[in-house]
Amino acid sequence: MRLGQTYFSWFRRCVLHVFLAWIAIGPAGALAQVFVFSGGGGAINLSIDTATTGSQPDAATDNFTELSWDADYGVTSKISVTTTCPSQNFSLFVELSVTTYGSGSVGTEQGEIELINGMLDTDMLRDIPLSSPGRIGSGTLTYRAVATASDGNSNENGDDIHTVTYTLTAQ
Amino acid sequence: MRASLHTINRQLTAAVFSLVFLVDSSPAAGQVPLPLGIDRYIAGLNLDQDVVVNVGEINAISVSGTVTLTFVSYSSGPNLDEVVDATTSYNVTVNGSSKKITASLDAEYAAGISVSLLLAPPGAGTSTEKTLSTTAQDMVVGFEKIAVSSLSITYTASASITAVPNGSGELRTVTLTITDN
Repeated sequence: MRLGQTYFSWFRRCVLHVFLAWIAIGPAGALAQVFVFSGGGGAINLSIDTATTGSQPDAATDNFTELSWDADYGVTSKISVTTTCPSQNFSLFVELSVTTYGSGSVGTEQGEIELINGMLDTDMLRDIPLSSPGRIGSGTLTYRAVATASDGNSNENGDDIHTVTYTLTAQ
Repeated sequence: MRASLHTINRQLTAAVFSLVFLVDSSPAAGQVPLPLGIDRYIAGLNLDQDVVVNVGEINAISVSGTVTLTFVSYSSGPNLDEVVDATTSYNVTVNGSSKKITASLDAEYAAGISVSLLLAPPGAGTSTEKTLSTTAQDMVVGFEKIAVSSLSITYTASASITAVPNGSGELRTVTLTITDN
């Protein structure tokens, strides 16, 4: 009986420890997602200050930001975007173009997305494969700022300051 | 001993049940509430980037072509018959408020010759026909935030019969300027 109790006590401790360890590090340890700016990533300034006379002002673009990811969620995943820009006056668009990916499917690019203050999370890239190496990839973010003549200018309205948030998550 | 084995069996069952339960709570079931500690399994990773959009003040205007005004007839009275030309046009882009267009000559015409100008107004602007001189004059006032092309320009030349014939003509440059109202 003493042997059984000792064995039980040892086994119970083992089960408990394994369970706690699984809870503590299991999911993160087994599934390690990566989502980083692999190029650029700092603040971006887009200036619109020219126009072909008689036409709307010229758009300003920037494509120096690159995202990289390892969508190790164990399921198909996606990248979405939203923005916060109180008192927005001008138009801003962003597009994620996948440049490298592990193998197989690149996922489904969603094209150019307009960034509007308070918008819901909007998918930029869907159907990222669940297994390696397909779940690993990178892409270029292309921003395009547009202002019509009727939108006015920053001297009168101030700049639009966006905080753009990208999210990698299970789909 | 039998009791201990029974207890161990219960513990094994509980452990297996826990693992099955956890496996079933996979990210694919993201809409299903998960037990404490599992939520980060499906939590997204976020990246923030600040993007500033600055729009400078744009006041752009352009005109098409060169105009030649030639007096060719006389009907009666103290002046030659007027010559009108509406073959040219102008384009304008402004993204600010309350603008106007002024016009001026680089030099006056010879005595007895004058040229007036009328611009079609962009948007809600107001146009007035005026005789051109080296002093800038308001041609269109009260327009703003507009991009428009092919607005008409109308020149009207007048000359008195006392004006001296000027051979190949007098070349003058008309300057249109956008400024604040």
